[in-house]
Amino acid sequence: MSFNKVSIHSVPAMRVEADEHLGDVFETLGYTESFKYSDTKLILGYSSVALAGLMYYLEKKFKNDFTDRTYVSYLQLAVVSFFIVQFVLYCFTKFVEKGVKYHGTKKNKSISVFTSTKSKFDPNYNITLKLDGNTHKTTIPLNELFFDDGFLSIDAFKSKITGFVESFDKSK
Amino acid sequence: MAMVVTSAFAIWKGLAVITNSPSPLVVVLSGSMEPAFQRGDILFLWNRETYVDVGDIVVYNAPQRSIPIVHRVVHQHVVEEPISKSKKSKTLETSKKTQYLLTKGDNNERDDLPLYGYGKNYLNREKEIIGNVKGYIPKVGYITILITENQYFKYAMFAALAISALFSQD
Repeated sequence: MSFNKVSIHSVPAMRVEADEHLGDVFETLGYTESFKYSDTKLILGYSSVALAGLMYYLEKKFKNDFTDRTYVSYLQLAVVSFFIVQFVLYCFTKFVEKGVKYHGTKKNKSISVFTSTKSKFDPNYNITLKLDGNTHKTTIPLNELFFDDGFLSIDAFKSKITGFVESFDKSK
Repeated sequence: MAMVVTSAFAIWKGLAVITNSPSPLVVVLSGSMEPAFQRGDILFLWNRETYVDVGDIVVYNAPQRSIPIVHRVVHQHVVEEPISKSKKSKTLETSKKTQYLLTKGDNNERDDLPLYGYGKNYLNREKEIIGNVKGYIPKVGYITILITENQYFKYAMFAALAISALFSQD
């Protein structure tokens, strides 16, 4: 668990810092973080970078000679697969991940957490929890989660989230 | 960051594949095509026609130097040449038609013969032409001329980037 000093006058900075510690908070509630979304995105991202690298390698190998049919067909293949991978990545972020900040499991329960702030001047941190198909919403003012020196108070964050989760999830 | 660089590179390569030109966008570097194109205009190229017409403006790389040259076609002729037997060819054709071009800058007194190199009288359409100019944006490309030709501008741009990075607190 590492903490960064953030500007307590910047709502986005506080939101990002709080998002990064959702894992720690839900760990105390007994959830294990699932990295399947970020792993999928990483694999897709790395493969598109690899495809661009391949295009660069082809350019150097064939000296970018467009009269060479083999070069052009390899390049076409690489370009088409790059855009397919990018399209899949876009669809995944937009329709599958849908802004999930935390995804965890406890026994056979799975939880997804979405967070947002209305604007960069509104310190109200909106949290939406999806637990086994049921949606629960709460709002925590970000200024109650941070010390004056700009560090996140993990205990305050934990107690607020724990209180919220226990209000609807009675099972231990 | 890596994503931005690779996407830009892939879009560039995608354009190259679509236009069939190794360099689909070219910045005009000289005034030899004035008044049609000025220094710093960006040209859009297309390289899918088998033959180009007299009057078309084409881009080619001069053999001795690696800068692209944008000039107008003033003469052309098509020659039927036998396909050399050393290359394995699955088609039954024994000859193929090759177009040869002579080019000239609108603002130049004479044609491009001296640019082609010793003993070379024409450009090979298929092998040497990078593309046929289909459209242009005036002046935008001047920034690349400034970056390559003026070292102080390069530093000024880095400084501007650094300052904007400092102040773009999200």
